Amino acid sequence: MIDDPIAAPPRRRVVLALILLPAVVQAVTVAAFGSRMLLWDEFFYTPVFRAIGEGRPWALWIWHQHNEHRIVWTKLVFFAHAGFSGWNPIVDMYVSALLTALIAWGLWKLYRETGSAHPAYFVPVSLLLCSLAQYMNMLYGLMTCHYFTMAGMIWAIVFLLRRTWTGLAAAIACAAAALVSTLNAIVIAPIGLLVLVMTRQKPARWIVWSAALLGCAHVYFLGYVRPGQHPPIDWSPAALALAADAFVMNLGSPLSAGSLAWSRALGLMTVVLLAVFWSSVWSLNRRESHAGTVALSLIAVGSAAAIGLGRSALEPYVALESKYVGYSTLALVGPYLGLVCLRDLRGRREIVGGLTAVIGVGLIAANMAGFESARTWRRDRQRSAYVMQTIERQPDYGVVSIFNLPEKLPEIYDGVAYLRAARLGPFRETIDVLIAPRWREGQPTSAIAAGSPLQAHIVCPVDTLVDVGLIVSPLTTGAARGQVQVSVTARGRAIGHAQIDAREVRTTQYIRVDLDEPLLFCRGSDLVVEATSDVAAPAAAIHSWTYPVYYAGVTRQGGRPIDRQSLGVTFNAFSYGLLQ
Amino acid sequence: MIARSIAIGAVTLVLLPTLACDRWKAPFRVEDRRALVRAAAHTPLPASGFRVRWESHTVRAAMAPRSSADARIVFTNIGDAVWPDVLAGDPAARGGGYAVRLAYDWTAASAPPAKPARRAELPYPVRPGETMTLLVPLDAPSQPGEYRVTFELVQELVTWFDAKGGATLVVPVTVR
Repeated sequence: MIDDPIAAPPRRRVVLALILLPAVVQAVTVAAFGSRMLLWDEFFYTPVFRAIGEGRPWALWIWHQHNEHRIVWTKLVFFAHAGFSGWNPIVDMYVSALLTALIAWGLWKLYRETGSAHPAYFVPVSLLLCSLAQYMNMLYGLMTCHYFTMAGMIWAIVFLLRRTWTGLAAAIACAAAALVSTLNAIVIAPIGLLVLVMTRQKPARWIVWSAALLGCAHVYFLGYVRPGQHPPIDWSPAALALAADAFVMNLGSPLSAGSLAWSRALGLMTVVLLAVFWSSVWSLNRRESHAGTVALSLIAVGSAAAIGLGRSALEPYVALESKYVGYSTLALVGPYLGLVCLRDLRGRREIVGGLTAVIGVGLIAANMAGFESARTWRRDRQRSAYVMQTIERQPDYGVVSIFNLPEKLPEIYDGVAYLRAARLGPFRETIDVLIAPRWREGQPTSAIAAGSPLQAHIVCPVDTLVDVGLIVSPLTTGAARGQVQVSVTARGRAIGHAQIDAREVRTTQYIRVDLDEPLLFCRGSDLVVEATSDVAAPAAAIHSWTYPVYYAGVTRQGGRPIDRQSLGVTFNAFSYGLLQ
Repeated sequence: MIARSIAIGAVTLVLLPTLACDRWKAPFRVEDRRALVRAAAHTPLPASGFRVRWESHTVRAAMAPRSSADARIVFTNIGDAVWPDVLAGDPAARGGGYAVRLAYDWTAASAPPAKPARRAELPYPVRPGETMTLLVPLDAPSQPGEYRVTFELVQELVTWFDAKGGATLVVPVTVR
């Protein structure tokens, strides 16, 4: 453990590093895993951009509800940058990274208000702020709303601790800013009041704070419509038990690596930690110095309670969703920073040491799980972007896969037509990939045998060709043998070749052909993909598939055309990540 | 104080372009409204949608009897409607109804004109102004002689393009 007290104040660059660390890690995460693809909650705003472009009124959208939230700042940010960024949600993700620095700064200030322990104690806090357990917040542009909320609430507490009227005014402004971001910030009203009471500020300030926040809430709820998709709160004992379970799991989610069991265990640990922290603050009469850290922990508790009550009717994993981790992290941050500064607490070193160990181990697990989730997240976004760009070739079941909202198909078609025409969102970049869109309608070819090779003469459908794939399936008898060769020819010369042992084809898979070098200016030129085998008996050969026409070309087997079908060839699907 | 300044600065930076003028709105405008048009299902093309320009082809002037060659046919939609492919023409049945297809066939040079029987599919809907390249397998007749290969677009279950004023591509081929 680090010895304290520390005589000298921490160096400015150390503080700066601690504050900037989470933002930098977050920015690196965005650079590695960010995608231009919009999610439904972002795509939902397509009509607004259309209205702006057509000169129709749009400003009211800024105040429109988004579920139960208003997300005013989030909308302003993306309305502001969409013009020059082509509505690139990655810009929003970087804004979130900046806001993380603001949040870290606020937490640092609260830490210094609480006591003067060593700055190294802040390292776990920095690491918690950029944990990949929050991958969804980091890699989802619209989630700036939660960062605005967090930053607003934390800075409201910072300003309340100034004990001045100017500080109170700034705190009210921050709280109001947080509230018009997401409704989660409503908890700051009672928490702020508690801070004023704990820090023994004048009752006049309590009144002003309460009146101001009541006024903000009143304005917020003017014309408010309860979102239909959330079930009403069920107060029955069984439902309350579920809510309590969701509450505990939410508190445990920052370190649980997505495991329900670990979330419960860590959640219970967090409840005990909170109880120890609050009781220690009270019993040691450190209410004034620790008001900030107590307030942080209460933000997490308020958020977990809201999630427990509001979302427990949904499946249990909802309580663990990455987007809520930002709030629940404060259930660890508050007590941790608070306990570090409770010098006269018996067993403080052991408690803080144990907590640091739990946070350390939990962060490793959470980051490993988060890393995998971030990779999957990016892959899913990239796949959706590809489907959106090829929407006119996609059947409804393909289009539904973009947002998994079958009831929204007409809006999706209209919105995509506009985004394509205005080159916004995923249409700012050309996705140079093609794979059979109507994959459910495949028909098997005859066996690829010596006397029945497959050949596809294709008008190249991509700008630069990097890899080709050919779908193949095994025989039902499992008796395949021999070698299958796949070759790619363009402009009269062989440009790629692959060979596979037919016995290795145990399930439907793609034979991957990486070209010797990328074929530039491929679109529109002639391409020939051939599959041959050295096995004479069709009964011992594997087969391929054809699909409804998805590229211009002629498919032949044994020299005979296969009418109005395209051979199951993929173009750049491996390099783009659609196939592995 | 610093925090407040940063907050005010950030808000101003966000608000300024939002409240600004036409230049900010320009990227959201779609000048060519045709770009917003989608292929309509189960719908005959409007009269102005049957206009085609044949750009080029690679049909050989002479072919050996029973020989095969793939011909590249390039054409442009110069109408103002999207030509649906099989999926867009009838998304549920996908049987080809209302789809625009390239029809082609051989006829002896001396024979009276006949509608081509063979079909090639569009891989995706063709937008107004868009050029499409298709490959079609041409199998030469077994009898030597003078032939013509006719290419024509058809909207299945609706009409031939030439009935609505659309052009037809006729290529003479000697089989010897």
